Amino acid sequence: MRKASYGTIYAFMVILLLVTLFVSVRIGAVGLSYPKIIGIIAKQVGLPYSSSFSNIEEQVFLQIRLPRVILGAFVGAALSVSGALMQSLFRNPIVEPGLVGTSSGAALGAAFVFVMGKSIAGPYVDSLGPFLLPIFAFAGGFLSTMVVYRLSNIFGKTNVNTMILAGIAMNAMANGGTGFFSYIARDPQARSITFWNLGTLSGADWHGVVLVGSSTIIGVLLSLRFSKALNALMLGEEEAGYLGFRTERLKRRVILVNTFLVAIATSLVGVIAFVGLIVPHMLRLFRSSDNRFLIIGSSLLGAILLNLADLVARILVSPSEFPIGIITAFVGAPVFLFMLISNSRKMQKGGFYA
Amino acid sequence: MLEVRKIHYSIGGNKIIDGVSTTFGTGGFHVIVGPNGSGKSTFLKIFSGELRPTAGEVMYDGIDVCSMKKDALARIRSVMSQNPELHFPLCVYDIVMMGRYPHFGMVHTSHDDEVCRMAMDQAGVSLFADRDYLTLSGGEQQRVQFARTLAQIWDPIIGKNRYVFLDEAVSHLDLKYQHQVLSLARGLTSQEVTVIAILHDINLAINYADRILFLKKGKVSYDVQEKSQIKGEIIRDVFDIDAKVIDSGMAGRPVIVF
Repeated sequence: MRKASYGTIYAFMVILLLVTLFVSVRIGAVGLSYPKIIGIIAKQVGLPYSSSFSNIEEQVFLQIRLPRVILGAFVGAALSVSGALMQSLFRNPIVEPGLVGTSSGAALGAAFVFVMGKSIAGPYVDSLGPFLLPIFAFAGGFLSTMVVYRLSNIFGKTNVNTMILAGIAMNAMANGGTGFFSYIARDPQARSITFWNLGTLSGADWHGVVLVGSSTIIGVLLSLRFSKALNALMLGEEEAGYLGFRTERLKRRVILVNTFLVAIATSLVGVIAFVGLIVPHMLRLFRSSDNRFLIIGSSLLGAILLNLADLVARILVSPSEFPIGIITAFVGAPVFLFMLISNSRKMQKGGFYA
Repeated sequence: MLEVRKIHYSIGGNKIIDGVSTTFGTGGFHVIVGPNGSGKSTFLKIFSGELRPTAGEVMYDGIDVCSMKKDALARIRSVMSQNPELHFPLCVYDIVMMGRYPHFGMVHTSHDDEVCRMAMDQAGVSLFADRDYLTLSGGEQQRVQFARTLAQIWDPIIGKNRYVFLDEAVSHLDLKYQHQVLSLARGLTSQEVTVIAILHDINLAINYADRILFLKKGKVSYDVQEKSQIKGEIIRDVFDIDAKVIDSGMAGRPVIVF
C-alpha cells in the first residue's frame, strides 16, 4: 500500500485541529451555541450579526473559553515537539520532557517564584511578575535536563536505564523542592502549587496565549532547522559528524530549545506529562521517523490531542473541572509501560539498549 | 593526497596511536589491517577528522583538517562505520538521502534524488527503497549504508579530491556482496577517489589493495606496496599466528593460509 504523502497528512491534521477547536470553544461550564459564537465573533470584527447573546456569554467566550482553547493548542504543540526533540537527542523513543526532569525542574522554578516571588523581587514583583515565572521555570528545567542528559550519556552512548533512573532521581528532587515550597507557603499559594502541579488550563488568559504562542512558534521554527541534523543523529553521533554536523553544538542547542518550549508552557499551565511521549510515537507508527515530519506533525497532533484532553477535563465533572495532567497521565502512562515492555523484548533479542 | 604526520593519541594514559606518519596517495586503494585493539578504528576516526589527535597533523591536500569546516569536509569525504545503530523505524531511501545532507539546505533537489537512486542501484538495494531499515538483515543494512556513503561523495568537485573510508564495511556481507562492495570501492579509485579501508580478511585485502598497512600496538609495523612482499613472517609478527603464503595461480595474487 502506498503511504499517504506528507502534504495529505498535514492537511488532514489541520482540518482535524480546526474541527477540534471549533467543538472545544462551545463546550464548558457555560454552554454556548454556534449561532451565539458566530455572533460574538462577528461583533468583534465589526460585522453585522443576528443572534442574541448575553454580556456574560460574550465575556465567557472572549475572556475564558477562546484563550483557553488556543493556549491548549499551543501547549500541546510545544510539549509534543519537545518530546520529538528529546527522543531524537537521546536516540530513544521512550523519552519525554516529563521523564527526563524538564517539566518537574520547571515546576520547581515556578513554585519558587510563587512562594518567594515577593522576597526576591521586592516591590518590583508586579512589574517583573510576568517574566519572573518563565525565567525561573526555564532555569529549573534546563538544569535538571542537563543533569539527566549528562548522567545517561557517558561515553557517547545513551544508557536508557541510567536515563530513567536519573530522571526519577531528578524528578524526586524537584518534586521534593516543590513540596517544600508548598509546605512553607501560605494557604492560597500552596493550593495553587498543588493544582498547578497536576496541570490545568483553567488559568488561561490572553497574556498567556501571547507568551506561550510566541515561544511555541519560535521554538518550533528553530526545531525545524535542526531536523536534518537530528535525522543524521539517529545513525549515531559519529555518523552525524561524518555527515558534517557539529554534534556537540547541536546537542546543546536542542536542549536549550527544548527547555525553552517546555519551561514557558509549564510555567503557565503546570506539569502535563506524557503528551510528548504519545504524540511522536503515534506519528512514527503512522508514517515515519523523519524529524521534519515529526516536528510539524507533532505540533498539529499535539494541539489536537491536548485540546481533546482538556475537553474531557471540562466535561467529566462539569460544571467543575478536572486537572488535565491527570487525564494525560491516565492515558499516557499505560502507553509508556507498553513501549517499555516492547523495548525490553527487543533488548532480549540482542538489541541495542546496552 | 591525505597525509598524516606524527599522530599520537592517548586516552586515560593508554597510548592508542603512537607516532604514525604516512601518506595516502590520491586514487589509491589503501587497506589497513591489524589485530583487535591495534588502533585501526581510532586511526580512521583521526584521519577522517572526527577525533582530534593528542599530537600530530592530518592534512587533506595540504590543508590541516582542523582548519576545515565540518560541512565542507563532509562534501569531499564519506565514512562508513562498523555498524551504525538505528533505534527508529526509517525507510531505506531516507537513510540513503542522508548522504546528500551536506549538499542541500532544507529541501533536496531532483539531482539528489537521482544520485540516491543511482547509488542504491550500485549497492544493489533499489528493491528495498521503501522498506523499513530495521526489518533488513545485517548484510542488507550494510549495503544500504554503503549506498549512503556512495551518495555522499557522488559528484566530483572541481579542484578537490574525494575520499571514502570504510571501517570493516564488509564484515556482515556474504562472499558475493563482499566482492561487490569492494569492487565498487575499487571502481571509485578510477575516478580519482582515494579509498582507505579497514579489513579483517587478509586475503580480501590482498585482492583489492594497492597497498597494505599493518598496524600493531598503535604503530605502523609494515607498509607493503607490492603483493609479492607479503611474507608469512609479517603475518606471524602482526597477528601472532602461523601462516604460509602460497601462490593462488592467479597472477600476482598470493593467498595466505593458516
